[in-house]
Amino acid sequence: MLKFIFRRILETVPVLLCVAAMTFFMCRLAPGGPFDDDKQVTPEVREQLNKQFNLDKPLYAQFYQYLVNLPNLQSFKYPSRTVGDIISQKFPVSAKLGFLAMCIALSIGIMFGVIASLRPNSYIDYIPSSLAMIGICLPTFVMGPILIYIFSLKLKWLPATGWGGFDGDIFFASDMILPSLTLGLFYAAYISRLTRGGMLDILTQDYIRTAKAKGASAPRILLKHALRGGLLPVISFMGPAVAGLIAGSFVIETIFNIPGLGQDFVKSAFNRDYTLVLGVVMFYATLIVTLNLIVDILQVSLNPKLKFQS
Amino acid sequence: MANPTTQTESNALAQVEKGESLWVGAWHRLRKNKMALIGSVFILVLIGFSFIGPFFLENDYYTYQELELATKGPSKDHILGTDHLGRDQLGRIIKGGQISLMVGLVATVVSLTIGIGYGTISGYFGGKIDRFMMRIVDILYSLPFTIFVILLMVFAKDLGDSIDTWFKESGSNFSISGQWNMLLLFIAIGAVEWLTMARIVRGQVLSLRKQEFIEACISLGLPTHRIIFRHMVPNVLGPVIVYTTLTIPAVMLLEAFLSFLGLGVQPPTPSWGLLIKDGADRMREAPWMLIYPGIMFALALFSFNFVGDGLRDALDPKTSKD
Repeated sequence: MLKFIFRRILETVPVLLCVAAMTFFMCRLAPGGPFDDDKQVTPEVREQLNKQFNLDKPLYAQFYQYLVNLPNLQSFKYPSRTVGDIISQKFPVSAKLGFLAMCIALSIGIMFGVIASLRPNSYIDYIPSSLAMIGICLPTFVMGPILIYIFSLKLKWLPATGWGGFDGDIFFASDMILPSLTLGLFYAAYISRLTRGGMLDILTQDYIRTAKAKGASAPRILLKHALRGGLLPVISFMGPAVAGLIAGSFVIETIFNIPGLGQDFVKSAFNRDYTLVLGVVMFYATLIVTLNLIVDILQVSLNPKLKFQS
Repeated sequence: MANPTTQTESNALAQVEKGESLWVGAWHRLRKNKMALIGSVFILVLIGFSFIGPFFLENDYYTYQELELATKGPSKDHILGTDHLGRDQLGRIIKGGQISLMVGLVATVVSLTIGIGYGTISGYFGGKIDRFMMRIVDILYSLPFTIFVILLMVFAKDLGDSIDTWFKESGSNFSISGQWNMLLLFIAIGAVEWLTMARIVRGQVLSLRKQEFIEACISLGLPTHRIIFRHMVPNVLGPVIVYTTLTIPAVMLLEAFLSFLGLGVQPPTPSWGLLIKDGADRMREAPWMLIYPGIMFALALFSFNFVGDGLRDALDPKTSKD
């Protein structure tokens, strides 16, 4: 087990290096530069700017510099702030959105999935399963505007935009409900389908029948015996789900006008803000790779079959 | 002279109950699945709507503007209303459907080709090659791919213009910048969506490789490419078809996602994602601009998903409980 964990940690290093190299060279091979928008820039000023941001050095030297010193580099667009500043200021907002969405997705998804798996092909299966199908076919950018239209414009229950009230530092505000719900419901639909499939597989196994024969109560069979195996597909989905939540947050932050990291990422790519792009990509990549690692370890420790293989 | 024994023999043979082939059995199971049938009918309707619909409309049906009619709700002339620039919303949705379905199909074919090729080679050769190739897939799986697609779409946007100037300088009239964004979408999406297909195909090929008829092929001395393409690929077709129908909605979703962020197809060409974006921006004053493309998009995803699920249940009786 320890050997497995150690090997997996070692494997993340080349992966992250690959991500850094791909992003960096994609940035630099693309036409256009960070100072193209400012039309009045004279050649002398441009040269000075290039010098200030080390753009005049050879590519490999720049790449090396980016690698060793990424969080402390200046953003091209906002030279007074470093990449680390921007990420540490904006990411908590995105993280909170993602966390709330994940809680909604897991609680609704697992509940619906388990209910649907109890009596397959009956009404208590059809209703949650159809709701899940509708959820999958209503992507966040359709669901978000619809929820705003119903709850903000028509019913006037919840605010349509913003995050954390006027100050933005309230722990929980009513304007957080709609964004997290929009983002969460889409994944709730996925998770409920995965849970249902996993539970159906497990509930027909011999050891469940044995437990029934021993006279274990239905809740005990469900919670103690079935859920552990039935949730395995959900756990292996957590890695991709987090990656999806990050991508989804770009859209949610645009729809609800939330000052998170996603908006900055898309803007920085358009601005050719090389340092910020690389910083945000590396930050997200590290996050996803770390979460994948945790998911892998969880999977092995929950699934005895995998333990023997590793 | 007719031989009476052969006559009776063939009669007897004709009476032997015919076994159901995989495809016939699948068709019977699929026919029982109402949602899958409704889904496939609706896909045909959508294709007709988007590709035959334009024949009943003017040539410039999706770009023609009447600015004084901008942002008007549904009426007799424009049954789905007009958008913020006074263009007929029905025409926009028809054209948007063409683009969305086309991106869905072409990008899926791209990912299919890569996935099948990669998966077959990996599964067929097995051993070290297989382990290495699948390790790459595992690693790619763990990467934040949507982020790369966004970067690719942003950075390569201007590349079309550069290619055009290069062609002009070398004295050719060839121009691709008009189609560049579509081309980029096909490549970018196709490059992302092939991973699962490669895994599925590899698993199938791996189990096929041990079967007798492949061993027979090898002992007959057939060349490798012939074994792979004549004997293996047709046998992995079932799961591939199922996964293809499930990839199309995923691809359409990704395209709409990119268009929503302003990175997909470029105006004035619409796609459903772009129309939803336009509608979401003006939902207060023009809810119809959001609702109709939203409904069309959701219905398309709905049908493809149901058909995919139905096909999976039909082709693989084991998973039909799922």
